[in-house]
Amino acid sequence: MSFPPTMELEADIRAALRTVIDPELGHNIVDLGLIYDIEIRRDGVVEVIMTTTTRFCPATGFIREAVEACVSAVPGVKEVNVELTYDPPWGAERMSPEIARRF
Amino acid sequence: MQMATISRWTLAYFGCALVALVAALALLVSGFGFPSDGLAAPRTLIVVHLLAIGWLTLLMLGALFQFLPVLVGRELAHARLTPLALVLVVSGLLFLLSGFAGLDGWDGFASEMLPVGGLLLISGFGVAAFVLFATLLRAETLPLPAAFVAVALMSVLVTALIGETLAGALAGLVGGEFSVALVTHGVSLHAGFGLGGWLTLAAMGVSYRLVSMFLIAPERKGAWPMLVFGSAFVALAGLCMALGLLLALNTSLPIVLVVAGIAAAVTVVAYLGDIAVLYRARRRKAVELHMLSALGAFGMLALGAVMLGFGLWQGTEAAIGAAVYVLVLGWLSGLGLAMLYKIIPFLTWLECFAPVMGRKPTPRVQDLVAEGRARIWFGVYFAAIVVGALALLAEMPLATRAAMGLQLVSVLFLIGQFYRARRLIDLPSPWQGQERPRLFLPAREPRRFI
Repeated sequence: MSFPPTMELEADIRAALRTVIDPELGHNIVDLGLIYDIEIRRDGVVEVIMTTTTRFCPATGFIREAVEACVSAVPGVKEVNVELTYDPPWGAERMSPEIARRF
Repeated sequence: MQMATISRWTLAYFGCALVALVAALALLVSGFGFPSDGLAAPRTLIVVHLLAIGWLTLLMLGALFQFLPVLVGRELAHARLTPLALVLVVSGLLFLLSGFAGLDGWDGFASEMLPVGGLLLISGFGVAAFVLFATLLRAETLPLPAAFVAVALMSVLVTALIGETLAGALAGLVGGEFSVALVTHGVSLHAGFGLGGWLTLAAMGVSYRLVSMFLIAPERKGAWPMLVFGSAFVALAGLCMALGLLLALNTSLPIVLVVAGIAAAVTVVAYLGDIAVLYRARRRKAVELHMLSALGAFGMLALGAVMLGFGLWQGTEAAIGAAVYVLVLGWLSGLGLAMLYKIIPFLTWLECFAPVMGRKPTPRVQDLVAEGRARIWFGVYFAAIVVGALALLAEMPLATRAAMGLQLVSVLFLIGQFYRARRLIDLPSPWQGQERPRLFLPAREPRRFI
């Protein structure tokens, strides 16, 4: 059984995650800098480390579930584990320059 | 990791609160209560309690059930008790208003309903405070905004206890020198604990987090916000001392109230300084309408505080009444309406779109509102407050009622905007087919949202 190259799969995952928006800020969670890390194992298991703009926001659980659902649907992904972290906390400096300009 | 959840009954609290606000404004416009009647007249007390309990307290409790978990990072404890608190507070308020009607001599109403209403209100606030304190106790650490809420919750209980004692005195159940002293000196303490200790401190605590969250500004930490909290604590300690003197000696010591007043003024100045820093430090350059309107409310806090100082120095009913009007309808109500303009669409979005996020495209929260329509009515609302305050100071009752009429119209329009957000009317076409949520009752099938 063969898997797509890791980098290609990560690019696919990031592209898929760009369809998930932060409902309050209205921008996608990748360019907002909410996805801290994507680790892809050779067996197709993906570990995502992410955060939210506000700790304990009522939308947090939904955003985590959305990331899980979105990554699971990417071809080549067998399993997804999403870890939520606030260390370090999100800051506006994590946004992509393009989003920061439109902010 | 624990996460905050959606409070199922918050919108029911908001619905009842808005009904009370409209009823109170309609009464004021019709010439019911101050300034047509005296500040302490039963008809004025009906309007004041409709605003303070029916509108502002229900609004604040509904908001706290949703946002205290956000402040402390824990789920709401004993959430099933929140509808019980709502029923107790609403029924207590109805009895209280009936008691005031009895005091005013209305047929079929008796002043004895006052203490019954007071007992129901104490029970309702007690249940709400139990839920909120239990949530606070779940926190590993108590962030400053939550500390404000903790002190505010103690104040609402003290307010209710003083109110119940006053109700007993007005209904003739408590007599003697104590009753006279209570009615003479206790009313200002009741108002101080209620409007200052409860509503203003809770609004300050919640706004610290919300302003920072909505503007993407670094949270305020360090000595300055501690000064806000510390001076508020001194002001409340002064009120507690004055209450102790009243209970023990049937008297009042003006110097204690002066110290409390100075501490309260320091609180307001330091708090507004913090808010100004938050706005200046924001990373979100475009300010959405709710945060723009909140600026109007912060301005009203500054104006109302100055007017209250002036009013207490002057000692006239018109000046004190105008100051309380600005603080209640400008600061607290203005901030409340501004926050509802964001919170209602946000909760609606969570209910309708959050469960499908990541599976299909979702709109932004901002897509649920049309700011252009609401912008002018927020402007009209705050302008009407300034005109109404000037008319009250100038003792021009017709102009006052006209200004209140404008307020009523703008509130009705804003409620129309809240309705449109709940019914998903302003959503862009791709999402127009979305199933609509219930207007203000919780979803039929309780869901865990984490």
